[in-house]
Amino acid sequence: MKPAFSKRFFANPALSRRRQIAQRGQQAVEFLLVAIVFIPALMGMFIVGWNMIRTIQTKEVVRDLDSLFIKGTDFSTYQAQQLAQRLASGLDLQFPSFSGSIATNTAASGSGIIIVTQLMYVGPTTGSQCASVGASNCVNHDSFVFTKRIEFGSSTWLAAHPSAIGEYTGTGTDALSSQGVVPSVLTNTSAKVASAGQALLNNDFQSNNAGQTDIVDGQFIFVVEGYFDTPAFSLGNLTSQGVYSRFYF
Amino acid sequence: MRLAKRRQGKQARERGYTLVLGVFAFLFIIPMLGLVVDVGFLYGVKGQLQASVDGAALASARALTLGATTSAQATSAKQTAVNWFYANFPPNTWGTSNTVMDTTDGHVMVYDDATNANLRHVDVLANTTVPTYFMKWFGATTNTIYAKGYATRRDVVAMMVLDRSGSMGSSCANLKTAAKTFTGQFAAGRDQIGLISFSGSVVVQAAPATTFQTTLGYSNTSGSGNGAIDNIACNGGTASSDAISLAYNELYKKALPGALNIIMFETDGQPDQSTFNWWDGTSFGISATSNCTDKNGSKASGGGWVASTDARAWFPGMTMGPSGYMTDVPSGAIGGYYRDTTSYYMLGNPIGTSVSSGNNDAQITSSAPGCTFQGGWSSSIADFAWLPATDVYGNAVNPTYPSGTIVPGTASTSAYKTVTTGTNGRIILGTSNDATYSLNSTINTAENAAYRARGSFKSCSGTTCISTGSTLQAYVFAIGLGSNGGVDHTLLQRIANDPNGDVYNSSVTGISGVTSPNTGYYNPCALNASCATFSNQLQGVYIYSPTAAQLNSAFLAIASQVLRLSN
Repeated sequence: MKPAFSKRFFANPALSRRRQIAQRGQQAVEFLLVAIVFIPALMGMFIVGWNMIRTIQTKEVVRDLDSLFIKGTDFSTYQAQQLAQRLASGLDLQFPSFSGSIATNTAASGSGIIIVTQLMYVGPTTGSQCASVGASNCVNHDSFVFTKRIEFGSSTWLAAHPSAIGEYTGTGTDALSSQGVVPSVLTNTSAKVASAGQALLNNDFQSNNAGQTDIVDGQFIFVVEGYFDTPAFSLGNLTSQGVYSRFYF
Repeated sequence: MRLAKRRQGKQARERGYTLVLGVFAFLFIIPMLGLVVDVGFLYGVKGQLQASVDGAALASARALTLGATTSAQATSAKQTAVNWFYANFPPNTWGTSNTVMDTTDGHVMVYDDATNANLRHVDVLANTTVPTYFMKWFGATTNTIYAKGYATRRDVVAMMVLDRSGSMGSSCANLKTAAKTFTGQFAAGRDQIGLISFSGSVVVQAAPATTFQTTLGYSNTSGSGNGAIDNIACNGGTASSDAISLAYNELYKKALPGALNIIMFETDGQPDQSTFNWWDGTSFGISATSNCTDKNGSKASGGGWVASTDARAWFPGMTMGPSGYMTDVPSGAIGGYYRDTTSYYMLGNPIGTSVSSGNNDAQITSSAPGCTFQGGWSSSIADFAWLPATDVYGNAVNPTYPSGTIVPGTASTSAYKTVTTGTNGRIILGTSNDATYSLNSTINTAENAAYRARGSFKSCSGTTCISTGSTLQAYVFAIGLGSNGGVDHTLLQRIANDPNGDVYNSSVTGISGVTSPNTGYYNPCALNASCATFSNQLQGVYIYSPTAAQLNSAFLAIASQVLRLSN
């Protein structure tokens, strides 16, 4: 068998050096070939993993806050918002301190926003809800209406990612109370969830998916929404958009 | 030379190693990547599924009020669980398939607690199939995950206490509508609701019962019905302390500590009447100048009114019912004491029977010979030397509260309204303070009645606190109706043990005493030196309804609060 390398090759230092020079860069090329695949894969894994963690964290926070909300926790108080902050540890939920009750407590800092909403479905004008104010006055019949809305966290994120249900827009005598309570939900047109929110809620509650039936006059829905930023890594379509979660309790 | 040869041979053999190693590494890295993605995905779906069953269970427990029978309520609860579950977890969520959650017992169970007859459970179980994206290359194409949610609902035992005083007149119709909306929110056949209406007299219209929708009337999405609520007519004074005390007595007789015990108190004015026994165990509060004669026909100045057996029965005894918190009140020198802005009146038996007659105050006594209030109201209190330390229900006219339990901490531990008491905690009459102290005593007894109903373990009068032995704790909720001008926000905050300011009315400016940045009609307790709430007691809610038209919303808001507490 012919030896793989001739004696001349090893005996001649000049030739060996030339060979070494020729091989120089080979490892770099091989590394480059591997890196082209490896580095995006690792970055992708990092981004996907990070977003996955944030998504799971956000879901848990939103679920826990909804559980607290339905059991009567008043998120218009600083103490309750601090509790939310502790639950959202690591998600950079920030807001100003205050005393008493405030329906909207936001500031530019921080990387997340929590939106707490209580909704009610108002049935037809013949229903008991409308009967309490008179059918002709019941302008919000056959609609979802806001009964409570509280927001706290980053105003920047709130502006960039407003509630999927929509914002409550009542002003003056129809403005939210300090505890986020919506006045006169049957007769105040501002209390009616806007069309995009109505469409969302109709799809989720009134479209009879998989055995669902329409909810009825006077039923309440307790909703918590949370948006949180994720680190600003981007890789093609894997650009971070933040994570969002919403639960109906 | 040999070393150089060896090194050169090694270098030659290493050619392509990086590439080969990279390829081999991929055989491990891809599965690891897959594990990260697929397991992370599973956790994500699991979180979504868990939150969905949690939401379904809680909404389901809330829906246990829908339906006229317990079986109808269970059906409503099961359907609500399905509705809420799929609102949170629509088909194909996160690429899942074969999601199973329906109204069968395998997925929604509604059942009674084994040891607490007033507790119902709802269990929700769902499962779904989650696809894998990387691990399927290794044979694991799907995973099935399960999630289970739990919720409970306590039955509610409530007494509605409704003000039917004369000032409610034009609001009476709104009150009745709102009260029927309130009863319509609760579970017939499980919850128990009773009714007391009060003006100058208190009428126990119905004890708490599961048949409340039939006996009281109701209005909800299933329909409506008439009952005792519809019979109310609004006339007379405001005997708040009597009404709250008798409401608590009804709850106490039910003796269901495992249920959620509630007093729902509505009024449009300040208390102005209390019921006293002028024999306080030591002597009679009949003045030396009074012409009232005892049962032996003797005046105080003539040696009468000395022993308890001398008491003339101005009114029949007051029956509290068996096993009540308060024992039956025997007949004697007992009656309702009413004070308006200018006059004092001795009324009749404070426990009435009629809610529909023109004047709903109790009958004026005709059994008080010599007294100024014999056969009619009196504008004089000359017959009395003092007011007792407590009303007949044990509520103190000048209570003090244990320090360390008051919120905010700077609030005084003394009574809400100032009175000066003397020997045995009595308010001495015959001074320039008679009018103020008389009115203040009726306010203090009302506040103290609510304090005791929340399960206070001490009743304090003056500097002396005694154990009441009460073990049943009741939430007290309050609604104040405006328009008539007499509602006392601070008193109702104290009655409900609610430290919040007006959080139900918005953007009201220019209200006297409301401190910026708060809005609404009144400040939180922390900004009101007269306000005090108690950290060691159940916290209720006070809602102010500025107009009669808003009463319905106020009653609904209280019902919503109660139902949330019951879950």
